[in-house]
Amino acid sequence: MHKFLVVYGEGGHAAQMSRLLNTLEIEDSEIISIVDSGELNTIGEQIIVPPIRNKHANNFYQIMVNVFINSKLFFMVFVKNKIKLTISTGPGICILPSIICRILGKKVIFIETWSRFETKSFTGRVMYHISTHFYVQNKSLLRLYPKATYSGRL
Amino acid sequence: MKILVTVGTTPFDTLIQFLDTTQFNFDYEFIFQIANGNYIPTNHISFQFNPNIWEDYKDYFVITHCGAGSLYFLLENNYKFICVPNLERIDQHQLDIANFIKKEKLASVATNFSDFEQMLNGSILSKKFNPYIKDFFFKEKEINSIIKE
Repeated sequence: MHKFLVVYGEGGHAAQMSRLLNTLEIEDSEIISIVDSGELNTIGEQIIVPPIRNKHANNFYQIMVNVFINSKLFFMVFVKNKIKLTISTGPGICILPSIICRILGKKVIFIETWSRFETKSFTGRVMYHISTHFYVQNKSLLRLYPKATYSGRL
Repeated sequence: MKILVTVGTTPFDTLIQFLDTTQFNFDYEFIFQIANGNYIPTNHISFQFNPNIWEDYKDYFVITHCGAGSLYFLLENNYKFICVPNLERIDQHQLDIANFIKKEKLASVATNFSDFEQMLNGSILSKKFNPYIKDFFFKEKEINSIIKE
């Protein structure tokens, strides 16, 4: 049984994850989904976390509170389950579980959002340094992320 | 013309208010999907979310925010539409994909609301755009092998 985390947010992030999972052979896998909204249909166990950054506000205190709450939650998930891999399509809620995943010596796959062509996303900028496998869906991004792998578009 | 205006998961009040309160010189009917927006349209019907939006309004011409999920769905299904980057968001990333749509001539892009008068009154339905040619995702085998390691 292959056990891994998928981490994604609402809107386009969820659409990309749904398309990705549809292409993968995951019948033998156990998936835990970490998401930022209870409105999402997920595969496997679902854990809802508050987003680290809000689309409309970027308050430092709120970010720190969210970092603490999420760290504790993710650490328990990793301890309780033998997670061997994290896969994410963003947004920033994937950063903490990815850091914990790497500290524990496991792999992290990140797919930069399909909406970027000439600019980096905040999450992509960070995950470029954290992930073990970093994919871009638009060839133009290889100029900004020279070590990335082009994957085609979901 | 029946027109669906959709903003995805992030409110885009200035767009909804502009279209709700502007009188255009042609026969039209708007339906607005407004998310958790503060502006509630008074002249046209609106709703917050509808998971079956594309099925329920498939006969409508579409005005959409530049969220990639919506744009790729519309492009993959050969819709004609006008897209509008939502610059009310804290990040301005919708400009990136809006520039891509414009550069590749895949659809009309309204970067100013004043563009609507000309776009909607013109022959938008007969306007020609380039076909969307998608370079499909091809790394599934590689990711499968990482999962199974």
